[in-house]
Amino acid sequence: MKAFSAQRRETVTAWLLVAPFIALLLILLLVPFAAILLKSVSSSTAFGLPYLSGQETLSSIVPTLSNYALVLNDPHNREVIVRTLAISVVVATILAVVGIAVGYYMARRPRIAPALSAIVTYPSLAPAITIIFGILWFISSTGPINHLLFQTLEWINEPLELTGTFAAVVIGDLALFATISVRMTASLFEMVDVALEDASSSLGATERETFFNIVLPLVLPGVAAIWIFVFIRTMVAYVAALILGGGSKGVVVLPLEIFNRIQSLGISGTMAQICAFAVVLAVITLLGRFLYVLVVRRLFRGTLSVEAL
Amino acid sequence: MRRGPRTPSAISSVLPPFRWIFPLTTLGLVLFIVIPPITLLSLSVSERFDLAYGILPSGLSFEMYTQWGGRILRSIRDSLFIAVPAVILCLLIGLPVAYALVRFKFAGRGIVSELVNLPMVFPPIVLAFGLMSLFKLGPLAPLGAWTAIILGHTVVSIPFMIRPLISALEQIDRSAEEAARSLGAGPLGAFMTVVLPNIVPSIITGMALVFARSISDFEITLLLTTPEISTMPIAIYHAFESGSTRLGAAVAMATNLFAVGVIVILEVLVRRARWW
Repeated sequence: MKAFSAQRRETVTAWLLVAPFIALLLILLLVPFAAILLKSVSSSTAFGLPYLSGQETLSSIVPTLSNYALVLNDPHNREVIVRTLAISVVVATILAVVGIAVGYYMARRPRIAPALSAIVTYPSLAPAITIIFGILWFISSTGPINHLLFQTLEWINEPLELTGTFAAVVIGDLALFATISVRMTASLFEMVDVALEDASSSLGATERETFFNIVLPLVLPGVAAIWIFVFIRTMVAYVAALILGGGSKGVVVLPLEIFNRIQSLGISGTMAQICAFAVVLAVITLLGRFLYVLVVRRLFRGTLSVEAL
Repeated sequence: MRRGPRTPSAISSVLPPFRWIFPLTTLGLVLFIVIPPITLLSLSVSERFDLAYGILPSGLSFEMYTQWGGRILRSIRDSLFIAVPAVILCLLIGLPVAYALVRFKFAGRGIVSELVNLPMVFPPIVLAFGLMSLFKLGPLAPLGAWTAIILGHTVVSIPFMIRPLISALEQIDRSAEEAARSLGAGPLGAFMTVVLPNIVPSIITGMALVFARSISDFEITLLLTTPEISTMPIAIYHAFESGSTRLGAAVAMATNLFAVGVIVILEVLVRRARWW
């Protein structure tokens, strides 16, 4: 009996300690999201979210899936969703490869690793918008890339116009998320024992064989987890598309579409559709997170925990 | 150990000598990271718009900084008015959570520890939309935009406080605390004298991370801000939006210097040799 009451007291104490945090999340994140979820299945065109900023209540909502049908069937919206997924896949894949190359180099060069690490970490410390404006200038018609290709080397006949293209948004997201991928992958390689490589090469394997047959297979599950992680981060980011995408007629991604629609809320009252969009984005993200946790727990037993950068 | 797929021999004819792939990719990434900020810096101190080689300033002029210094300082002040309360709130709310998760086995512990990660993966735009409904159109409107932004930043950055604290607390031997308790210290007393001094470095790390997250935030602030609140990222956005690229570059450089500087100072305070 005594043990039971001690256990109960521990539970009560613990919940008292986490109560402010839970309240914060409930009020600011979970309740608003629940209201968004409700609104997304409401057929009413009324402005505002149920219980929060509108008059609707659970009993007055006539449930419908028409908002989702509108969101998913409209060609423009479908293009936005497919493009968002495409950008995220491209960014995550490029960064997985770059992460493997740079991460391996850093893990095996302990002398210059600190300096490299400091440079690579810089984009995660500096505000994202400054990184993106750096990229905007970097790829602009008078920036260094065009200066080199157009004016110095004269390889091209006119400056490359990258701003407003798919590639521009990809480049921006690469700059934002390179840190995560490289640092997480470097810590994967650090966990691989160098003795394995030495053994492999002393048995006559070439560097290439050792890398592809011994080292890479050991880190691949981790690389998969990092791929998912970068994919999610790219999914929800909209700074790159906002600045480099060339406006609302340009390269719009899902979160930016939501942002644009919120901005024009006063003009066209499509609150319910915005909510459906928001739910679609949140569901994709949370599914990705679920997958990530699954991969990390099952294949990697929690040794991969560098995500809080 | 699972054996990996054999290398297709076709690859070998395309790639440069194998050992060069790693340093070359690293060099490429370093250039890709370093050049854009350098061009921004050059742009902010250049007399003319066309940079030499697209990178270096052509003519030196600090006009942007002297002329707009007041505006830059104002946005630094606005950012601090938001970041400092957010850091304090994160510490006050986050420390008990980390302690409870490490020290107690309680019903619902798994849910709470996953909830800690939720703000990091939840789409910022959806969070901001919810906050906007609460604070701009909804029941919390009387609290005002400042509170909305501070609380928004607190929610998204609290994982950055809790996670380092958890790993610090996990390394502290529980028996030391129990010894203090058995010598007559209360739970709070034991915590203050035995636990707290040992986790100060992680508290500072957490504060630096939260500060960085708050100072940098653009995606959430943009939806909640009003014309009188102009944090550094918002000021940069407005400068570029209104076409004053060089002013934007100047604010961006000031922001970078300030944000990265504060973090580096905080981390040096922790006296960790490898602050990165």
